[in-house]
Formats: sequence, structure tokens, C-alpha cells
Amino acid sequence: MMKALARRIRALFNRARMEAELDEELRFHIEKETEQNIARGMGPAEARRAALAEFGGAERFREECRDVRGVRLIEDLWQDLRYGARTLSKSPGFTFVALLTLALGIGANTAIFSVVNAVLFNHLPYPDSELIVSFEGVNPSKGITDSNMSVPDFADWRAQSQAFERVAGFVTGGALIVAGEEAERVRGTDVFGDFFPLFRTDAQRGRILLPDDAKKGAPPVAVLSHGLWLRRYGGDPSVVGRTIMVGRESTEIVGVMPPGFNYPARTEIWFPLGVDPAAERRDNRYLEVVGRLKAGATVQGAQAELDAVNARLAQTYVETNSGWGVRLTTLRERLVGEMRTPLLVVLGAVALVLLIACANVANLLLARAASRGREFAVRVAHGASRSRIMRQLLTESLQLSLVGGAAGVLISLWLTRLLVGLLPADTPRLDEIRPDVRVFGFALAVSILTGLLFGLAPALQASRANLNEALKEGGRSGGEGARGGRARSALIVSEVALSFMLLAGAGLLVRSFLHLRDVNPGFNPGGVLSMRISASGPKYPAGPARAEVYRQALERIAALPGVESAGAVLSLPLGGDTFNVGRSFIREGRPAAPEESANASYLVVTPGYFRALQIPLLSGRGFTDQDTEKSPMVVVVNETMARRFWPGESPVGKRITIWRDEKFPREIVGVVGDTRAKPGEAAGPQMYVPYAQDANWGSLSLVVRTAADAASVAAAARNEIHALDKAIPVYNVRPMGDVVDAALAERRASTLLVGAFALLALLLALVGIYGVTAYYVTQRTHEIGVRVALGAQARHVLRLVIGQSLRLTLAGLALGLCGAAALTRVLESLLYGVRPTDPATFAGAAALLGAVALLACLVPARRATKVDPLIALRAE
Amino acid sequence: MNKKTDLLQGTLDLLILKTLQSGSMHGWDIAQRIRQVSREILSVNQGSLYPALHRLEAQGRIASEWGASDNNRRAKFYKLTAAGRRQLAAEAEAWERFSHAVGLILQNT
Repeated sequence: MMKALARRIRALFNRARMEAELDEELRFHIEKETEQNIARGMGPAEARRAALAEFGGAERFREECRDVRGVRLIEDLWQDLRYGARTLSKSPGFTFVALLTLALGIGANTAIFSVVNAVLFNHLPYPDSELIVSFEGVNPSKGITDSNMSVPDFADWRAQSQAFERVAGFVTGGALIVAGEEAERVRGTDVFGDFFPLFRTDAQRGRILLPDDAKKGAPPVAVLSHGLWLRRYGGDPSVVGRTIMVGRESTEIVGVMPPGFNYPARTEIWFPLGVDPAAERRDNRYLEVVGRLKAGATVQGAQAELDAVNARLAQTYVETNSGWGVRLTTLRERLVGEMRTPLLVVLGAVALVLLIACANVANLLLARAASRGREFAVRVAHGASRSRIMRQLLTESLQLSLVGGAAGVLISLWLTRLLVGLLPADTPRLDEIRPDVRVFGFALAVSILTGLLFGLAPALQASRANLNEALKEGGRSGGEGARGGRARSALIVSEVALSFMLLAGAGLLVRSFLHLRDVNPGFNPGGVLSMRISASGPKYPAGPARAEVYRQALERIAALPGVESAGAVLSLPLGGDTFNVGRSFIREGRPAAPEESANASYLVVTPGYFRALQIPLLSGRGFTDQDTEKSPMVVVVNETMARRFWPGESPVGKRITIWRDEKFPREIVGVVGDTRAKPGEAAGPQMYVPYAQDANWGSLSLVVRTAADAASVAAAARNEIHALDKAIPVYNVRPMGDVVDAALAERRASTLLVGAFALLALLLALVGIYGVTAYYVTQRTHEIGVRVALGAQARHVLRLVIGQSLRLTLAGLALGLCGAAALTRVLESLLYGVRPTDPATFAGAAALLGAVALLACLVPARRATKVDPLIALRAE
Repeated sequence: MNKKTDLLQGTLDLLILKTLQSGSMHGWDIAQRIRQVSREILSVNQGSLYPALHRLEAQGRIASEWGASDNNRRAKFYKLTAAGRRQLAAEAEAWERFSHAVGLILQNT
């Protein structure tokens, strides 16, 4: 065995010598044979000819001898590679077009895959991250999902379940870092339990937060993110141990986390959350919870355990816990679950583009194979086997696709950067997008598959070529047989079908996007500026003092030139502040059993809010400055709440109690229009309370309706607030239009991408149809010449050529229609206001594709009408 | 000359090994010898002879070396190896049994 291997390796290296020896051996044989023939009485020339004839095809036979040596495959490969490189460099035009097509196709696929890989496939950047799960409070009977959880429940889960190694809770919010005059608002998180150990991440400098830090009376401490440390403290190592002002409190920095640790998303500073579970209420749900499963535990197992604990809690604490449960998902799924469908749709779209590119390159190769028919025939005649020729053609294709793939990887590096810029900034895991081994493996695999895919049809065709016909035909014009024609027809049909599917899908997404953009959000964002300000801390205690500072700030801003009205709200519509407060309420005169209690979004607003956003007042009145903590308690509800809870009657004058947060009833004084929380979802019940009657909230979003330039008003408004108090931070300053845009940003990105790929597909289809039609005309020049000579008019010729292409296009459209009808179903969850089989969209896509096909074959068809029968016939 | 018999599949190896039993010789000699010994009944197509030689060499049944031929030209000489000798014995015996059996059937039915 070893000896055989050694012989093969030797043979490989001594290739030239072994070839020479083989030649010598054969030459010797022929000479001996010739001598013998002469001895038998033949003339020398005849003797030699007879010897050679007896020998048979020398080349075939040499190959058989090489075969025996077992190095044939490698030798052939090397030969094919050199031969392929030579042929490709001989037709630079073809090679360039094919390489460009492949590089773009593979590059786009690799770029999209690097995003999909980072966001969907890669593990989170923590050790054993697949064991980290996210808790989500749910109450199916009230239709509540995605709720936060209470501290006592958290403590019970931690104590009573066995599946978890660690659990931790946290509360996200803002933190105001003050240094001298300059205050900066950063995203801060208060953490509770084994937060950092759960992620198995230690501090890069200093230490992480410890349980003792959260104890009552412990000195305030904080841990910085790597980004904040670099940005604000220039990466100064001595910052650990330094005391900074956070809000009104001097806080010691005890550690800096390593780069890449930023959970929950974009947190820049972490504080210990000091709470006592025994002193907390079970219906005060404000905690977010994560857990790490013990090795070997499953999400299902842990879920079952928690369900049991929650069932016990619901029995013990009927009033607060009845109906409440927890849904566990892996943290990764929680973070990126919403991204899955759009990303996979984009990946599918770009894969279709690559398939179309493959069809185009295959077409180019088929045309080349046809004109190389003679070359193959000659090789077969010299004893090359058909599989040998197939192998050589496939080697050529793979050479093309691998070079194209290498160029594609380079393109993808650039495209990926472009993509990251295009995606909304709050896309989860955006900072983790970078090419890794898997991305390069993907590019390699796609290149090889592509090469096989577009190389197969031409290779099969060439290997089947009929020797005699090829030589005969080749003698004339290097034409191709009927089979080649069928192959290219099939390619065009599938190309058109794929393009149609992509166009139809893109059309549906674009129409959904346009519908969503035109959806009335319930307010008028035009000319409105929004900004968030915080007045809290000991200087502005919850209550009248805090209400007063907001009233003064709004009064000053409303007095600015160019400002029409100004108001403030707890959280902006369309997810502008990324949070929503929900509260239960009880209608007066109805039984107050917990299961009867209803839920609505809870918003505190200042009197100017409805006017500034032009939210219509449907009945009753809005709020005024006379609604204070001393005046009667009032509430305004939205249209949906009025219709749902007081069907057929006016709610104005009715009274509700916002249960468990307030122990007193409020009178409904007005009904306003709905404002949407998401562009694609109808509004739920909403209730508005005057800020003066619930001034517990430290931060509000200001909305300022301007008649003048928004940017100048922004600066003036900031000045007015700082004239009031320099320490009040003003942040998230942006036009309300940006809030509307941000709500659609992710959808815009995926629509844009699929749309761009559809256009690319259209372009490729155009090139493909043009190429095939042009080839058809060249092949039929003689036939067309004869027809013209026999009296055919230009329109007959046009009809012949265009008819040929349009038949293929129509077949492709029919096929694409079936494909699209089946495929656009996967888009369903992404569509808005349009069905997956929207006839108008499909018709539009078909019309566009048909027009492009017509355009593509018009030029060659016109050329066909110019065929001069004399020249065409003389060319024979 | 005109009553040549095509070689049965697989018998060429046996003939080559048997021919080489009498000593080393080059390819052309092997073909000549087979033709002469079989009284011109068996003729080896050169197109199959050389691949067979190379195959047998690759299998280690025969070995080759370059030497001078009768008229002093360089030629490649083949000779049996020990493995080739064993193979020859085994195949010769198998052939005897086979042809005996075929002979019996042809005579008795």
C-alpha cells in the first residue's frame, strides 16, 4: 500500500521522465514492427504505415497507460487549469463579463450572509451564551405579552426553580453624568442579582458590581462600558476609583467592562439596584429578567418548572398574580427574533439574483461551447473521452467561479460596510457584523456551487456533441445542434421566471411600505420638533415643583417667535420613546373584580400636547392650566377606548379609577383621536392624564409645533430650558418626522434591498434575453437571408425574431407566476394593506418584465431586418 | 494468419506472465512470442499490451528495467517478480480447471 502510494507520488514528480520513457518504449515497438514488415517484403514507408495502423490510436492508448499509473486525475487537473486559463485569457470580453456578473452575485450574497450570520447565526458574544434565556411576563387572559416582572416574583422564581444556575433582573433607564457645566445623558441600567456573572464576563479594569454594593447604606458605585470609558475619559486607566457626579449623587467608578459587553443594548453605565423583595409589591412590574440555565437544562424544562411556580403564586396571591405567567426564550431569539423574517427574505432575494446571474453565465458558456464545438470534436477524434472533455469544461467553469468568488469577497467587504450604514442604528448586534470563517466558507461554497451550476449544462452539451455533425457544422459556421438551442431556451425561461418572482415580491414590499407611509398615525408630524428633557432629583421632587418647572419651560418655548404651540408627553407615539406604560382601570358603577378590570396605555400630558400634535378633539374638552393637583381629577380617553368600553354612548362625564395606582376616581372630560404605537397596528385604548395631576415622572418628551425653521427653534428652545436651569439635560432633539421615519427604518432597509436586488435581476434578465436573441439572429442569418430573398418583408423578419423571444418570455412569466404565488406567502407577515397574490402588483411586474424583454430583443431584431440576402447567402 | 482468435477477457495477463517465465524481454518480443507459440492463432493487440504491462507493473507482478536490445537500441525489459510468479501459478491452475471443465461439457453433450 505504502509502496503503491510512493510510486504514485514519484510518478507525479517524474512526470516528464515517465512520459519520455513511454514515448521511447512505443517508438521502439513501432520500429521493430516496421523492421519486421520490411523483412516481409514491404517498402519502408508502407511498412511504417502498417506498423502504425496496427498500433491503433496512439493517444488513446497513451492515456490508458497513464491511467494505469493512477496520477491521471491530478495531471489532468493541472493540464486543464493551464488550458482553461489560456482559453479564458484568449477571450477577455467574455471572461470580463462572466467574472463581473459572478463577482457581483457572489459579493452581494456574501455581504448579506455576513449580516445574517452575525445577527441570526452567531452565538451572542458571551461564554456558553446559548444557555442564557430571557423572561417575558405574560397574562393570556388579559392579552398582555412582553410585560416586565415584579421583584417578589423574581425572588420566588430564583428560590424555587432548579433549572437555573443564575438569574438577574435589571431596569433600563437614563443616567445623567455631570462633569462641571457639561451634563451628558447616557443609557444606564440598574442591575439586580448575579447580572455580570450570568454573562460570565469580568471587568476589563477594576471589578464588576458585587451583591454588597446593593445593600442599604453602601456607597454608590458604577461600572462603565468600554465605549463610554474611551469617549468620555479618553481610556484613562486612573478613572477606576475616581468619583463622578451621576445626577446629584457622587458615585465611585469601580470598573470598566471589556469592549463588546453592552447588554442590555447600548448600555453605557451599570449601577447596583438596591431593592428589598419583601418590601416590594407583586403587581409593581418593572423588572426585566434574564437567567442562565444549568448545563444540561433545557428551555422547555425550565419553562415547565416556572409554570409550576407561577401556578402556586397565582393561588397564593390571587389578587396580584392570577393569570400571570412567564414565557422563556433564548436571549438570542429574543434579541433577533423580529429580524429573522426580513433578513431571510433579503437573503432569499439575493440568492435568486445569483441564480439569474448563473443562468446568464451559463448562456454565455453555451454560446462559447457552440463555437468551440469543433475544438471538442477534434479532441474526441484524437482519443479524448467524453468524460474527459466534461471534466475540462467543469474545470474551466470552476476557475471562473472561484476567481469571480474571490473578487466577490472583496466586493462584499465593501458592500457589508454599506449595508451596516443602511440598516437602522438600533438593529440588534449591528456591531458584531464582520467577516469570519463561516462567511468565507460560505463564499467558497457558493462559488463552487455556482461554478458547477452554470458549468453543467454547457459541459453536458459539449460531451454529447455528435462528432461528425460537429466537424461538418463546424466547417461552416460553428453552429450548435437543436439541443443547445433547447438548453438556452430553458435558461431564458427560468431566468424570466426568477426575475418575475423577485419583481413581484419587491413590488409587494414596496406597496406595503407606501401604504404604511401613508397611514395616518393620528397626529400631524409636519413642522413639529421633539426633544426629551429630564427634571428630577432633589431639586425637583415629584409633585407640584416638578410640574411647575415643566410648565415654565413650555411657557417660555411657546413664547418663542415661530412657535405655534408646545406640549409634553410621557412617551411619544410611534414608539418614539421605545416604551409604553400600561395601566388597568375600573369603570364606576361596575363590579371591580380583577378579571373585569381593563387595560389601556397610560400617558401623562401637558395641556398643549393635543394642539401641538394636532390630535383631534372629538368631544368634550382637552386639558387646561386649571387642571391641577387641587382641582377635580380628570382624564381624557381616545376613540378606541370610548368605543370599546362605552359602546353606543358618550363616555364624557363617566368616571374611572386607574386601579391600584390611584385610589380615587377620575372624570372623563373629553375624547380624542387615536395615535398609533406602531405604523402597522391599529391603536389600542389610551388614557391621558394631566401632568399636573401625576407629576411623578422625571422625563418628558416635548413636542413643539413651529411655523419657522425647526433647527433654529431647536437651538432657541434649548436656550430657554437652560436659562431656566443649566442642569436640565436636553436630548433626543429631532423633528417629529424623524420619529415617523425611524418607525419605518427597518422596513425601509429591507424594502430597499429587495427592491435593489429586483432591479439587478431585471438588468440581468435584460442582458440575458438580449444575448440569446442576438445569438439567435447570428445563427439564423443564412435562414433570414433566404427568407428575405424569397420575399419576406421586414415586419415578417421582426415577427420571427421577436416572436421567438417573446414566446420564451411568456413561458417564463407563466412559470414565474406559479412560483410567485407559492413564494410570496412567506412575505405575508411583512405585508401591509396588500395580499400576497395582489393581482395589480403581479400584473405590473409582468408588464415591466415584458417591456424589458421586448426592449432586449428589439435591437437584435432590427439588425435582423437589415440582413442583406446577397451577403448572407454569399457567406456560405 | 486469417484465423486469429480474440483473447478472452483477463487471459492477456496470464499470457504475459507465462511468456515472461522464460526470462526478461521487451514488449515487442512478448507480442511476437505469444503469436509464435500459439502458432499465429492468438494475436495481441499492441493497444492492449502496453496498458496491460503498465498495469501489471503497477500491481508489482512484473518489474522493468532499461537495457540494450539485440541490435543495441535502448529498450524496456520486463521480468517476473516473486508476486508475479505466485500469480502465474494460481492463474495457470485456475485456467487448467476452467478449460478442462469446458472441454468436458463440449465433449459430453
